[in-house]
Amino acid sequence: MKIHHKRGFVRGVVFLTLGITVLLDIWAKGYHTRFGLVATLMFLLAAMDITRSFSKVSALEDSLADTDERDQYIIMRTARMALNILQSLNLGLTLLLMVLYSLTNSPMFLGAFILAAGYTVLSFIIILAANLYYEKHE
Amino acid sequence: MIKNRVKEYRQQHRLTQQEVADMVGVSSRTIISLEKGQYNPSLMLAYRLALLFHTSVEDLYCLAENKQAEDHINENSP
Repeated sequence: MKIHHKRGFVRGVVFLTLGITVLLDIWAKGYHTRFGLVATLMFLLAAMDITRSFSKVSALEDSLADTDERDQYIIMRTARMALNILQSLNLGLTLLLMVLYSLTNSPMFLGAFILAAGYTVLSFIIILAANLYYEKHE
Repeated sequence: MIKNRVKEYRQQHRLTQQEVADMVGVSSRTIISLEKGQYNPSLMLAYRLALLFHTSVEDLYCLAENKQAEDHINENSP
């Protein structure tokens, strides 16, 4: 049997591993309904992905979904819009937390402000690094 | 978005959208969007479509007309 869609196969193996991990957890700590449901779901997803990865027709459908240019274009635009929205929300939240801390002097707001500001700085650095990479390589 | 003759050529060749999609290696959703003028294809996709319909990219995508329309818009914009 030949693997026609490697990414799907790897995804299936990951789900299988997760399912086995949940089963081991059940064996070690006793059965809980929610863990049983999670393990069942993991095994079903693993079976679906692994089966599809061996099927030539399914693999072709899946790879087309990965390579169709319009889909990739939409994914790019969606990601860009989502990133802009997240950055705006985070900046607004950072400013709000700063104001709340200055008004209340609560350590909770200080901690939250530091986290939010740290995320803002980190996302800026990552965007800058990605931009430099693509400027150089495209 | 630019005007094109993809649907016209597809119907002339009696092909379905799915058949065209399979021949040029994209999804049928992409062909539907192309025909409606909602999506501009990459250069390679436009070229593959032109080869499929035995025509040129310039003819398939009415490049002369679209260029005139664009020039007209640019002249009239402030």
